[in-house]
Amino acid sequence: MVDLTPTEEQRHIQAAAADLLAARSREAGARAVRAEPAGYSAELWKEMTGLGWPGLALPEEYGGADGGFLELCLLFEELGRHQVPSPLLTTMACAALPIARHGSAAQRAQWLRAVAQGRTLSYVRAAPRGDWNATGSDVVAEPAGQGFRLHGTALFVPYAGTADALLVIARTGGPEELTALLVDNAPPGVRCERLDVVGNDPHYRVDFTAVTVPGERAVGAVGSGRTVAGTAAELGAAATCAEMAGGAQGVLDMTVGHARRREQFGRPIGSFQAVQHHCANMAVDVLGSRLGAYESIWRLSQGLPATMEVSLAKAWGSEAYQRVCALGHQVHGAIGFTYEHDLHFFHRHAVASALAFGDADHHIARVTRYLGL
Amino acid sequence: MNWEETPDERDFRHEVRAFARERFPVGYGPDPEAEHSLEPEDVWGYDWPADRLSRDPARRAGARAWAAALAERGWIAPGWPVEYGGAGLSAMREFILREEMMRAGVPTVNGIGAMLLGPTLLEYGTEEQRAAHLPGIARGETTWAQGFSEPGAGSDLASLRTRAVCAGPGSGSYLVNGQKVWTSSAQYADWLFVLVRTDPEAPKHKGITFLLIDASSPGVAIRPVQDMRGATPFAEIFFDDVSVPVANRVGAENQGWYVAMAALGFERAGIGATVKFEQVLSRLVGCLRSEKEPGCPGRDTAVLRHEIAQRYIELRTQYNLARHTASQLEAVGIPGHEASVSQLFGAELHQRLARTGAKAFGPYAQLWQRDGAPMEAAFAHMRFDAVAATLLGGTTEIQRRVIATRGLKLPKS
Repeated sequence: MVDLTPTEEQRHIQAAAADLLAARSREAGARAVRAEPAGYSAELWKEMTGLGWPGLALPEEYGGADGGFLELCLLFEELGRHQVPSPLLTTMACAALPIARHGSAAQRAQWLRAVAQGRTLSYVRAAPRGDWNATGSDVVAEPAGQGFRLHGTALFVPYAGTADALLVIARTGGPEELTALLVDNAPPGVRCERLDVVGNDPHYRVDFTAVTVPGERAVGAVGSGRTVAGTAAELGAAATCAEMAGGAQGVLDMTVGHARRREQFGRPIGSFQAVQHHCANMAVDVLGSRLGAYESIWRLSQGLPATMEVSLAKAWGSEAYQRVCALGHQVHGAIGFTYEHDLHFFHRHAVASALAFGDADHHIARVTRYLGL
Repeated sequence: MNWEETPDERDFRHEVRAFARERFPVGYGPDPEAEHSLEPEDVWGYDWPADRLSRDPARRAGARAWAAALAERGWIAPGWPVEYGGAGLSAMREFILREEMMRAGVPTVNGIGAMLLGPTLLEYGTEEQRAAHLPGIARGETTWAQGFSEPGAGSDLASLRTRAVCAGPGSGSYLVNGQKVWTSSAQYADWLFVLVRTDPEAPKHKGITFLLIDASSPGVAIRPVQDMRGATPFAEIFFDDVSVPVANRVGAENQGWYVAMAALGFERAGIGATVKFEQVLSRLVGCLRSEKEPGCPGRDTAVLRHEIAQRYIELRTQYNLARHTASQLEAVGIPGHEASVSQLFGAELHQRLARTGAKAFGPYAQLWQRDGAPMEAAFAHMRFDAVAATLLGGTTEIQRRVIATRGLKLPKS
């Protein structure tokens, strides 16, 4: 039967994640980890690993729980709702699951097991200027002996400073010939410099200088990097939609709570029609983006074509989340503009996640092509 | 979570599709002049309550034959129990049925009676009332109109002033006086269900009673009201000493407000509008893509293409909201505030879509005549139909209030 609500088991995963993150958000939330060199709480990551979060969507033979992508995305949704920065999304959606799909048996055995045990990975999509519309790569992999030698620079690489390895999309021929390579994130030759960005997730500029990569580190055939990048982009975009829906829900909850408590002119401001209408508009955006996210994620988890659904969820969700934040600020008034209030962490997240994996315009353009316009 | 239909549900979809193809009466085609209905569930070019009484014998016969064909399966009132002429379908099957009917371009039959009055009588009516009224609706023989709105009441529905007094002790009937307005298709209705004030002294919600009134009763006068398009989708009703048997009261005296609120709670799945919009958008896309289609000088700019893709994305969002309502109905039996989200979003989308579509035709977007206009002026008409979208069935401001107070539990003002 068509049933758009989470199952008992899915609700259980959601509730357990919500409980943990609510309890830890004080010491591991966006505010708390802002000064951490890693950009996230290593302790919470250990705890999450102990609970099997990185292994949730990995096969049992590698130490995973054999859950689906949908179940994994419920975790992203809760991470977004509680604004807890974590390398989980980048590791899983952009590296581990693409390795599971395109990697060799040996790569799967080594890396998926490592991820289930708590190692983190990052994804280096070195498109020119970090632009999601651009093709090609600013990282070049020259043939060298049995392997490659990497040169080049990538921008906006999340969690690269602490990742154990990087899945790098590099040029191996003409500008269009790309190959995915798993590169150890250990000097010499790899340099990660943290960028000062708006969002809560740490982002890096990564420079590769004559980095030697053995040939068996190619994920998928040499020259098939576009396919691997396509998987990472699709799963990453869908996972981000879950995170954005969670974030938007977080803003709505926070705003409704404020509107019930805050009194002006002798009444709670939530009793004013203008405020009620703002909140209702937020509820429309929250539900619309959650359903869009779930639809695309469900399709991906079933192995169904989802290019269209991912694009519409990302296009819609990116804009909806920012609208929700704007109205959240409006209802909070000046208090929401202070550094002290948590609302700006959601706003930061909305701006950053709207840009991640292609902004609304990028995805609307894809829908245009899908419609044949 | 499961976003895909089961084989059973898919089979049902095919069954509905085949039924519409095989049983829709030959000759019952869309009326090119029709501009009557404002209900999102209705198919363009058809106005079943009017067609059923049409002076054109072919149209009249077609409308009646279609009702009879649907009635055989209980598909006029698909969610009702079989004993009253329904089909006992689940919410999701009812959703699929309505979606496929829309896709097939065939009209809904007896919508107000089947979707609003029926569930109300099933919940609050007496056994005599159900037996007297439900089978006629399910067979497509008696049509109903809902008389709630009044000229002075509007969004403040509870301030209505139409009066009903007991004609005398033991008389067994009420005497009704007053006026209703904006009553959809009232001029074609056999029966009316109305709210009347029975206790003028009580607080305004507590002095209202719900009555069933035979439209042919002496003292009932119904006059169509013309809208800005020149169509007459609704009417005003005057009651002048109309005698209504006490047996026609639904629920207790002075409890009518609560009965009516339940009636309004039987929200439609709201799939009709989505399909209708999707079809017209897909025609627009086809029109822009074909260079040869005559009379279709579309302005194919990058900005327009971008805007159309946005509307398409919103349509898919609307489809999800509507399906989610059906899915909730199926799971818990009542729609939550999410049904209002769906209704609100759909109404505003209607207006955005109409503007986007009209934009595609430049100066041709002003042609009201269908003949010789690109896409038979579908968007020129839609732009005016859509004006009412954010008013009908309660303004979008009221929907927002429902979402805020019932859904988000914000304090009432």
